[in-house]
Amino acid sequence: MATSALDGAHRVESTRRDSQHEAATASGLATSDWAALGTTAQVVVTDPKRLGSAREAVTEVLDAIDLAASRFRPDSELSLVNAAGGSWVEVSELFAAALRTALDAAAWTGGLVDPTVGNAVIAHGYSTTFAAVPPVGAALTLAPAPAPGWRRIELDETNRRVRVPAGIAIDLGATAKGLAADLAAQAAWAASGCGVLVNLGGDLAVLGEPPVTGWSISVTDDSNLDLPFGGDARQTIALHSGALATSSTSARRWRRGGSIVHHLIDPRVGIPTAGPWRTATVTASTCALANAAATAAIISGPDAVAWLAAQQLHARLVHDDGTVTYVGEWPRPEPFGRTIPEAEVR
Amino acid sequence: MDDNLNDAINRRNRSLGQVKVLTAVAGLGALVGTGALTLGLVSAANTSSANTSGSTTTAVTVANQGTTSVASTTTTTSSTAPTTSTTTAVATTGGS
Repeated sequence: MATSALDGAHRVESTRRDSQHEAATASGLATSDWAALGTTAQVVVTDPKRLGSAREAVTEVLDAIDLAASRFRPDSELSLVNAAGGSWVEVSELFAAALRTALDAAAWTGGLVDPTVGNAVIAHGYSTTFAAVPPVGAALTLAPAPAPGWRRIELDETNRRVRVPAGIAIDLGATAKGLAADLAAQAAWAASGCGVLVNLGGDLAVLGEPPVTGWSISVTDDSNLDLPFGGDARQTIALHSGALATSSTSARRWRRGGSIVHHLIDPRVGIPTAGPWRTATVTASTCALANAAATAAIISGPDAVAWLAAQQLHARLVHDDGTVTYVGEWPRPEPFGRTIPEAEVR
Repeated sequence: MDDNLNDAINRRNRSLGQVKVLTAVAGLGALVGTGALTLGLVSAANTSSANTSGSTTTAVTVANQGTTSVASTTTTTSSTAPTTSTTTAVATTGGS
């Protein structure tokens, strides 16, 4: 990826963060978007009169998640747990739930999604909010090592406390946003009583009665840029229930020396994953699951298709060269108006 | 544990009340309070009004070294497959 494209990514993201936007869509839906959790939050409702209450409910959930799980707030519970030097730390119910989700995801993915990659992410330059990460910098001097491993994290759910061994930093980035989308969708649905879609920078959950034709969603490489690059990587699909999440090495990238660095760390080796997939989009019953599965697919590399198929998940993988592979019953393109008859796992 | 960390934890503990209020207002208190807010529980809630045909069940067993709890959760992983849309997109997914 060229340096200019990286600069563009920062510029577009910055522009989006400064805006708050509410609008009625052509389909009679109402939508609102604003900056939250270092990305863009969006809520769409089927009853425009309920947009305000839905947005208020989503905002409350996102504020709570940010206070619990942000890596960039010194007063967050995550920061306090990481700084506790191996001592037990009492945590909130919400943080315990977020950590439980991360540990469940680690177990489910066989450790491909591991919250103990925190120090590796920081060592590669992602030490502050992404908007503040310099897009270009000097070459990194690293001694890559496998992540310490999620089994070293102790979660005492009875007494609601957590212990992280000294020297280990946990990062809930692969699961917390998905969990937040799930919780926010539930809150928005409870507050509005209508069909809702909550989208947190491409990790989204729907709940309630959907539009007649489903929730129409554009699937891209980078939800901030909304532009594919290299190959025909965009598709519009209809989601009727559950959740959808995308992980991509096309987003949150930066350059150090002659190398492109990104945020998806392979915990088996402690460095950014090397492909062959640049983007994975997965549908699942919850966004936490979809988020974990999409990240696991990218990190597992050549094994992604088999792993996703074994979980009976529907997914869309974009290869580094732009070609697209479909898994399960993900809809195939219909370039000539014909329906491709049978789902195929490649 | 140094004084700065103690101060920070005290501030955090004061803020926890706010978190509980927020989650209760959002209708999440019951979910979070059960301690069962896992991948599986959200799954059940999230598909309560949806067509879940085609879903599958996967056992998720978590056994953390040194923890006081071992959780075993049955999780419905897959949702109804999406379909091709012919209408204007209302949301975008992508890397973020």
